[in-house]
Amino acid sequence: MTSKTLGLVMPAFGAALIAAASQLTIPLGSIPFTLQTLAVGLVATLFQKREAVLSLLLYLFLGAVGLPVFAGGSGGLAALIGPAAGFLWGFLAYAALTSALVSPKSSALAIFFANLLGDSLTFVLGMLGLMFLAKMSAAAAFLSGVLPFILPDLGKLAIITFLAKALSKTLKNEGYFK
Amino acid sequence: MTNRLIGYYGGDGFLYRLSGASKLLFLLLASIACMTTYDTRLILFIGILSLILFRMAHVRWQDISFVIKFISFFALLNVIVVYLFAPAYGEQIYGAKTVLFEGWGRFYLTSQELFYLFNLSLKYFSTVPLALLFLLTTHPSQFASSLNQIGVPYKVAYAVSLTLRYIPDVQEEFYMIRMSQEARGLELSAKAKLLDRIKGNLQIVLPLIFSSLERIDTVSTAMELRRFGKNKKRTWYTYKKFSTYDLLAIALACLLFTASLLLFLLNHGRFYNPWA
Repeated sequence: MTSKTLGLVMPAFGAALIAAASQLTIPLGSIPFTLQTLAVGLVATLFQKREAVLSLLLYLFLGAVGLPVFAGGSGGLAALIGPAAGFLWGFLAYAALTSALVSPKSSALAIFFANLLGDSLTFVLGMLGLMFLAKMSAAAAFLSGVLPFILPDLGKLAIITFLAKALSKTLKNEGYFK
Repeated sequence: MTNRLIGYYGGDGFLYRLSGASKLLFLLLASIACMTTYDTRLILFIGILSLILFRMAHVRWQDISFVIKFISFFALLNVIVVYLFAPAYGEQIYGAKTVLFEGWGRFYLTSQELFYLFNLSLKYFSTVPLALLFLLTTHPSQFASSLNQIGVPYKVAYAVSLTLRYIPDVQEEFYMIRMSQEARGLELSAKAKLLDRIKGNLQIVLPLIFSSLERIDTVSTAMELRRFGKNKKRTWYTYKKFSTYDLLAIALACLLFTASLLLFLLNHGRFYNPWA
């Protein structure tokens, strides 16, 4: 069953999932590991392009009006034009690109590389944001905004791939995910 | 067990009686004004105004202390990172160099850099209270009707409302699944090894998504059965007509926004430069 109403409810759920995941922190030693990127990746992989993009737009909008839905419980317009704004807008690009590249029949490798491209786009936009909004040099933006996150994000991408494959197997019966 | 960072708390008073739409417009315009300007005088004015409004709303500290601490931490982190990567930025902006502390290498401290970082911090502490106020004094159900009132299509506005309702549900579901798994022997606390913890938390994601998809199906079917979306317009149970105070609030927001534009011209840029 696909309908216009489903096309509205699905992004609402997607945004809620990302918002809830952004607030969850799993303690791995002394490094807080939020599930924000993981949730964005899952939404981008499982949803079709329209619903994926709408989910992110909805999420960004809620954060813009002050709801504490961004990582660490922050929010407000400040986050959307502050130093880390590039990453938030990058998530939107991530969702658009990855959902366009992935289909329910994609192989695990295709899913991983689609998410890798999406995540890389997030980092590129994040770096641009740091350069123009926080007045950093390119090297400084890379060192502070990209380098520390490469390994953790590769791990998250692997997890996204695993979860997406597991989920898409069992979601074949759902009309939307065919 | 609900992981409730913040939410609506019922109450009486001026701010609770304002329409959500006027509060939203005020929040957006004041935030934009505050974020785009670096004129200390305007930022201070908005900050003081937001503190006064906070007092009027009788917000209890324990309701918001967690969020305040969290945001303060991130604001501090932001200031530190900006300084570490651009310790000379203040000089470039204000065109003067008054060294307060020689430091080591490029990490010296000037009055100009300090003033810039002060403005940066002030922005956080001026806009965050406004955002918190909006959340604390606006009923979530009124949120969607407010959006529709300011021109957002009602279907989009309703999607926002749905998301707001889903967030605590997703959180609740997550904790319920986690506790169920732990009751069946899954160890997720610090006692377990790192890899086991990662694996364990992943086992929560699958049932979480399935139960959420089930909810999506149920909700969208129920909405269709109630003929959602069949007409171009709809009425709102939680609608509030604009009162005189709402119009005054919107006028004040427009004034603040205009002030930031005028100061932009007056200062020949975004920055108020006491060294000019």
